Amino acid sequence: MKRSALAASAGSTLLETMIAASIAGAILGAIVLGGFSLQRTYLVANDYFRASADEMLVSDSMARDLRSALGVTVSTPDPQVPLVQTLTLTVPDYIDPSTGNPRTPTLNPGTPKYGSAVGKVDYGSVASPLTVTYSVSGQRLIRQSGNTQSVLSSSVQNFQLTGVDQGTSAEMGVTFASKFARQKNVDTRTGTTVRSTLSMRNPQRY
Amino acid sequence: MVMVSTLATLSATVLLGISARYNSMSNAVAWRQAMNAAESGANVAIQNVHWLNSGASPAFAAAQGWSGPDASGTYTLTNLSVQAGGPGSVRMWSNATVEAPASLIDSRGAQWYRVRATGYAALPGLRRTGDDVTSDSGTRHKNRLRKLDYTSDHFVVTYGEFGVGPSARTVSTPQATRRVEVILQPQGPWNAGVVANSSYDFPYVDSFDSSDPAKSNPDGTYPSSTPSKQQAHGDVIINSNTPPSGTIKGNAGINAGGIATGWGANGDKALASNVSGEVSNNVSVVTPPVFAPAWGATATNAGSSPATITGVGAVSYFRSTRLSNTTVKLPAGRTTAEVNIYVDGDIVSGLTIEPGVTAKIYFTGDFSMKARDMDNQNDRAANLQFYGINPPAGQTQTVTFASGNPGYRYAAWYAPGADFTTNGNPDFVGSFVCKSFTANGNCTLHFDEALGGYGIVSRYSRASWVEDPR
Repeated sequence: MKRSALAASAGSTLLETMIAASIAGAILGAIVLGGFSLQRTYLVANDYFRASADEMLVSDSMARDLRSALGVTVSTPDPQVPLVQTLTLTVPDYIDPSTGNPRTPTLNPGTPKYGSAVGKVDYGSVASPLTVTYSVSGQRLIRQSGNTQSVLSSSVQNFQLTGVDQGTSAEMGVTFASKFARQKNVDTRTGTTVRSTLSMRNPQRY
Repeated sequence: MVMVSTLATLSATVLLGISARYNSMSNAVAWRQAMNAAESGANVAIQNVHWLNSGASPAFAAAQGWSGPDASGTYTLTNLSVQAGGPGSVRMWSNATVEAPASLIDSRGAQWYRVRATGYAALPGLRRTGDDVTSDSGTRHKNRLRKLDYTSDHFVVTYGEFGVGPSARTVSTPQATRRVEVILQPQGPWNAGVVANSSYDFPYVDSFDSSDPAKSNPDGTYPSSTPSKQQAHGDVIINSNTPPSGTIKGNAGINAGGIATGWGANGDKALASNVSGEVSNNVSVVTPPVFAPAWGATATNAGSSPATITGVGAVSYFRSTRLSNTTVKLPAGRTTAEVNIYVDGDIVSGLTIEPGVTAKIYFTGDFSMKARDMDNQNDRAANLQFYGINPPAGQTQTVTFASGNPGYRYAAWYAPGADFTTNGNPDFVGSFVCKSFTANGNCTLHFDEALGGYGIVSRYSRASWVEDPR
């Protein structure tokens, strides 16, 4: 028996339409959810990279100053908050602001000790050497050199100098606030602490 | 189509953001590596300064990338390859200069060196400064810390160096650039009262400074009658685990490897009450051997036991097989002169140094005379410098002072293979580097701190390190 042409061009049944709509809905839903997930991943990754950039910036900045430091002083401005400290570094005043060029240092051969000459090299004023401070205000970690102030990070929780070993090495610890909580009042992590240890290149004398 | 477009836009946004962050991070890493390159260049330069002094290897060799010295005496190193670039590694290289300007001569006349080294690390990413900002939008400070060179070397632009500038020198590839300056202090042989390689037994040592009127008599001699001017920097270092005997006005150290018990352990002075300063059992001082001077073969032959050796010009060189009752004199018409003498034999009986003469005497044999017969009429230890050439293995070298109303005897000794023995009660003024140091009488040693600026430089130490913040 031969099927009629009318039968071949007939529409979908209700059941077929419902099944197709369900599949399409599922696909669209997956796409939308995937989009949200992708966006969330991007935001988290973005935060992660920004946090890492902050951490590297703080670490690099302090490392540069500590390497050439002639003196390291740590204080705790608020005894009630012992984990928030202020770091003051005495560093060589290398650039002469009047010329923009490096200074010629003054030399002091010093008094020898244990068979070795222990000389001193001073750039700029011996009486008023250049200082650099790292301090925390709110969640901002601020570096101040002379009258120049810059904020290195605005998400710092704690800032501690965890150890200076006989003036030859220093270990710093900075705890950053969590950046990964997406819901208010929910911290998925308490924070990330970055520690760095470096060798100080100059003898400490301030 | 709408959905696909939306997803594509989202993906592109994600990739763009991640790419920028990645670029920033890779720039930061390269900036750190530039410091490694700078310090590598500085270390190579410092090693060449040591070689220039010691002659152990050719210093500032052209084959190693060095040029100079130029008209100002500067040596320059260019394109020192620190790390080859390739998959997984960043190309790093360094330039450096070594200078000895007159402005780096200290108050004691010693020449210091200045090393400037610039380190480079090729930037692997795009020619973008990256994302050097904090999450605080109000505190943007792109590249305030990290200076990246995309078109020109910013140090060359500012200062001009390595034969360029100051002008814009186009860089072939984007680079992170950092520069350090290191000041090197010469370490002469006489930075302590006594450095003994094996043992020390001497009644008394203290110090003064002949170059400082506040720490010496007006004529620069030892302030025996002014105790307030006497100093307590007469350090004694023994390069063995044998503790010193006698009163020491200064620090004292032995080389016992820092063991936890015994003399000087952890600075404990319970067994070192004779020491006024600090003590340590973990100290040693390198005492490089003395060899026959290169000029010895061509120096003027003064023969054996010459009665006089008279200098010629500002600096002169003589050789002799023996000095006995010899007087070293100034050249006619001069008020000062340096006279170098190579003695391939002994020094005995007597030695007189006329005022104005700085005598540097190298000797292979023994030294023996009454202390009073070593007459340095300058009353400055720096004017009579002895260098004891190390004896062959299995042989000894001795320096012996016999008794006999000596008074103050001024000299500086560097004889790391010699055994010193003193009888009687001389008052030595100067410094001793020796193998052993003993005395039988009531003698003293007053270390002249001004000797730090004299003598053969044995090494250079890093006195300062600073990074150029530009």
